[in-house]
Amino acid sequence: MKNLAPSCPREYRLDAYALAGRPTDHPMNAHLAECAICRSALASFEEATRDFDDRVFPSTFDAVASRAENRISVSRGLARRRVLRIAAAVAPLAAAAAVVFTLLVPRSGPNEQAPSEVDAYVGEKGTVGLEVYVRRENRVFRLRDGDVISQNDALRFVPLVSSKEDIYGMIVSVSAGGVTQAYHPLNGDRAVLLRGSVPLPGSVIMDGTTGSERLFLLISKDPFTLGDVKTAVKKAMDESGGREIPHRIPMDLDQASIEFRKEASP
Amino acid sequence: MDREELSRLYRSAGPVIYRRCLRLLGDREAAREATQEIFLRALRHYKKLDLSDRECLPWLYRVTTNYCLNIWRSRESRGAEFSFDEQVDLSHSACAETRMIAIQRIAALLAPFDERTRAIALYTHVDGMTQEEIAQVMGVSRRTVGTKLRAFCRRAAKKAQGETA
Repeated sequence: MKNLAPSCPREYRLDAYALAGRPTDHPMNAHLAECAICRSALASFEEATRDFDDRVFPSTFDAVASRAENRISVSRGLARRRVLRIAAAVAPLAAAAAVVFTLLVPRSGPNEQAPSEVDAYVGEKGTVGLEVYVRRENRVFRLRDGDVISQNDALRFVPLVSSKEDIYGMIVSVSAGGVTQAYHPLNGDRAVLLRGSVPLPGSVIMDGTTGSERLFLLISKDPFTLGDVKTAVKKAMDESGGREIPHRIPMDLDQASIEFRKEASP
Repeated sequence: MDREELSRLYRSAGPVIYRRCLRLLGDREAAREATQEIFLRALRHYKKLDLSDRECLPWLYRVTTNYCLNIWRSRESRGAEFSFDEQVDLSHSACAETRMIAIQRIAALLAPFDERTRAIALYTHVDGMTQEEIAQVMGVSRRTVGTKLRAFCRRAAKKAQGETA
């Protein structure tokens, strides 16, 4: 095996060179013209980039977008909570100031207040995730966004929840045709208490229907029903003209999801 | 940030993260998973995600390296078996397997060290970077790099002596 020569640029430098679009006046060009190993390294950079574009990006972007959206809502929730805390801390001072103000300044008329940021606070969301494991004959593997599964594959679910308290949860499947059904509790009509991030009992065996399907883990401090979920899914699908499965169910619930495609058994 | 902007950022920073993950993890599936996570973490500081800025690449290297080192640490603590995905043609492909073995060995030695020392040892012994390059990537002085590296080498040598005794 041929090793890198001391004069060979390290991968960090090659990365910077590749990122800069291989400038024609770059001092590294002379070395690359002479060194097959570094040319090969550069070629494999490009191969990895193609792999990202062709495989990684398409299979992960929806999940990234969904989680990024959730994070933004989390950080907004935290910001609101901070506002709430600050408001709580200054409230006694503000009340005292208001008393002084009222005593010193006669009221001139009704004082209408716009809804404040504090009024708009709706609750902080936690972090949730969903792991799905597929058993196919003797093999078990983790389901990834965009994977293909087939009839008779069995799915097991592991909800990932950060809450230390018991919370209500439900795993719901939404098909491209808008069919919404509960996988946990199986065929149930209302959310059940989840106790931490542990594998849920039992598994769901895929039937022969084909097409795209998205699994959602939905959690909330308050009970909710499958009926609520179906209504929200229908609304979201109507808004998209029934063209696509929503990436997020428009309900005030914490949620995580994963999409896969079902194909007929080979 | 709208979906279009997010897509643009992911398309530009994602390949850099992914390439680095492939090099350090040696497994396409693990690299794919790690890329998502690292990008989401980087997104918290999305103003830094501008690859035309010369500070961006060192920063992405740093974030990605730290994340991958944590994966190695967790593999170690779980006693997970190292699996080398033979379908992956890693950069400097002739050296890929050697690199994975080097990472595996270094990861075992790195466990007791702080995050900074772990990264410095990896940049030195796996990436072959100079102390100047490491200082640039990590945003620390060259002197700090040298000090941490010496501490790592002393301890690693001691451990190796203990194993051969």
